[in-house]
Amino acid sequence: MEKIYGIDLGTTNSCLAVLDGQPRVIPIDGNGIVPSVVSFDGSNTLVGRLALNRSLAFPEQSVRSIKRLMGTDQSLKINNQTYKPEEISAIILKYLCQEAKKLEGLEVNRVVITVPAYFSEAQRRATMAAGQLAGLTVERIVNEPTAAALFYDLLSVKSKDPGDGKDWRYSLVYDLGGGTFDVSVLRMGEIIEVLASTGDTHLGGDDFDAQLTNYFISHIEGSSVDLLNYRPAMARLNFIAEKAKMELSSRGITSVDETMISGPGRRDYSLSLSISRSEFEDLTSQLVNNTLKFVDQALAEAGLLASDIDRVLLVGGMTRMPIIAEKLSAIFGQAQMPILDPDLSVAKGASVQGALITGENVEQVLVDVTAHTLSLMANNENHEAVCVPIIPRNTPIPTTRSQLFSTAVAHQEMGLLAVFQGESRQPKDNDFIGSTPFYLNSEALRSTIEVEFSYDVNGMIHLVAEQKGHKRRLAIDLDSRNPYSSAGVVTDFASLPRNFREFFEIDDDDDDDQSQAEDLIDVMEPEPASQDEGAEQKWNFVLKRAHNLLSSMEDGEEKIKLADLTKRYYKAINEDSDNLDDLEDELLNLMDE
Amino acid sequence: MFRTALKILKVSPQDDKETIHSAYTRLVRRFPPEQFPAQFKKVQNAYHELTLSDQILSKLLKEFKDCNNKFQLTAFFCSDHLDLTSTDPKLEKINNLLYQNQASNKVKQILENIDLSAVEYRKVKK
Repeated sequence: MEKIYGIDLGTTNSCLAVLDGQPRVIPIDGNGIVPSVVSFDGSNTLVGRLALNRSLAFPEQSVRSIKRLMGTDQSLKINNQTYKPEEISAIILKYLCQEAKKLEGLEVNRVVITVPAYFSEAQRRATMAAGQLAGLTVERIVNEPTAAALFYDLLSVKSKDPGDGKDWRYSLVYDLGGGTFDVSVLRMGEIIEVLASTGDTHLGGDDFDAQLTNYFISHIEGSSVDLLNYRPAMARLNFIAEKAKMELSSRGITSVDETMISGPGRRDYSLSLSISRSEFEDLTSQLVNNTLKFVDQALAEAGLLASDIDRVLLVGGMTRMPIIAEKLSAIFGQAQMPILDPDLSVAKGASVQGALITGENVEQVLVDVTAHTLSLMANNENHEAVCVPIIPRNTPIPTTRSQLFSTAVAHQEMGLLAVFQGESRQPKDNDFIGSTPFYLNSEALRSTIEVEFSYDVNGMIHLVAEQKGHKRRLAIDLDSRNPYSSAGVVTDFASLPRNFREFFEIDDDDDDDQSQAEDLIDVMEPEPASQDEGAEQKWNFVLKRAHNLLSSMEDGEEKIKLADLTKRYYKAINEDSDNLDDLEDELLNLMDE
Repeated sequence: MFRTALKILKVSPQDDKETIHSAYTRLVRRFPPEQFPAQFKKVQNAYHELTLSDQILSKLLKEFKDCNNKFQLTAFFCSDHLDLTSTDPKLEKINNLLYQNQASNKVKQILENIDLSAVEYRKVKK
């Protein structure tokens, strides 16, 4: 099966990795850490290190930190051309693939792209769109801290027994990157379970640089205020700040001596000062404290105390700042802090996830969660539209949840199903994902509507609505994988009506309490229709597991039995035989023993 | 629902959280979300059903206290977390609290249902 590559599309740097037995980063731009910078030089488009260098001289023709704009309508105007954020990201993705081909002859078509766990649906869709624009098949959007944990788990798989009787660990991933911050709490053992995930998609290294840049400006002699609106000077100062920041990670003090910083009106400025690590820490203490608030929140959501955490994983270049490890040690004194490469772990983890999808990797099982609550807009008793949570945040995915609503007015003909993402009850404070009308049988004076949301591992939101007792049913995909084709789905919040008559109401009838139970009655029915899309990957998975088990078994009756059953299963797949499901069950049962 | 959950995870009501979790882990390894989404969902629902965390319970309690009228109470009772079939001693506290509240008939009825399932659960446990 064709390989699936892992891509970390970062704010500051991007990285491409593949699993060749072990995860390996493709050494693009030298060490594989490719600056996420694009620079337009006439008809020539530069990406990576070359673009970064050019961006100092031509900031107005260059784009940095585009990730921060993903999922917004903001577009950039460069050399009289407008670019959407996903178009810029697509240029970076294309560059990674082209270089992989140039360097090693690799054909990169199928990819997993990572995003911050706290990215919204709109930001995920934009990332997906960037991949498609680059001509790639995006197999999965994966959360960055989860990817890092997956990579770490792979590393530690051989030394799994911690020797204290428990064969699992509570781990906390602290991921502070160039522009985004995530914290995830996981339970890692036989399986990897994400228990809680939170963060801020606009908090990262860029903010630390900005603090330092401002500090520099206040120390430039003369009317330095003018520089604030002068892009070339700001770009240069920002670059100096970033460099000083990095130096302060390994040194207690650094000095800056820059002359000829050209300001507006051909005036030159100079900057000469030294700054100590503790001064820098003071400047940025608010930012660090903010991240710690999210750490507390994630622990609370996972229902754990700091003392429960066995291991803290540091991910993202900003975690090189010594104060961060210090602060975390103060909170998690007892926990280990294994050394991981903060720049490469995410991309490597993404390549591991790619192998999970193809079935190449059957040893690890990952259970991730939703980072935001999915809700439906409905009326409360005062005819006010509120968001009613259907899938709460931190629910393991894939998941299906349903809830009952009722019609708002007599003989209602239509109700709008408007889907929101976010933690507020107020629709205006949440992200609007899309809405679609549901036409009812209006003979009924009043009816009950069951609304069911499914969220699958691909990030696809599937919506089913049913008018109870009237056989009216609507099923629609709110497809985050394909942002340009959502038939009949309105995605502009402003165009939503504000009249309560066009929505449903929170249900207070009591005639239907068994609906949720129904799902569970058929205890373990085999998956319906084995012809579905994932079937081949499932077969691969089962066969690979059997194969691995066989090669580790000693000769004997058991082994012959398993080998025989595996052969019959393989035959059944090829002949599309009726008893395939039974054989699969039998095989899985045998492997469990 | 509670019994179905026990059946899916093949555990008994006497089992502690760790045992339930290892039963869950075994089944998730067998039915990874990647390859077996439908079975995974069932295992997940069953596990969710059997493990209502302290944190969720205390959050529920707070939400309940904040309910001021029938609508809010109904919304509260429709919320997904409310399958009070946990082994947690806090269950008793919550039940008492629910009864102290002056609720509408509808809510009282729901309360009785909830209590029944809790009573049933305790019987099973004994």
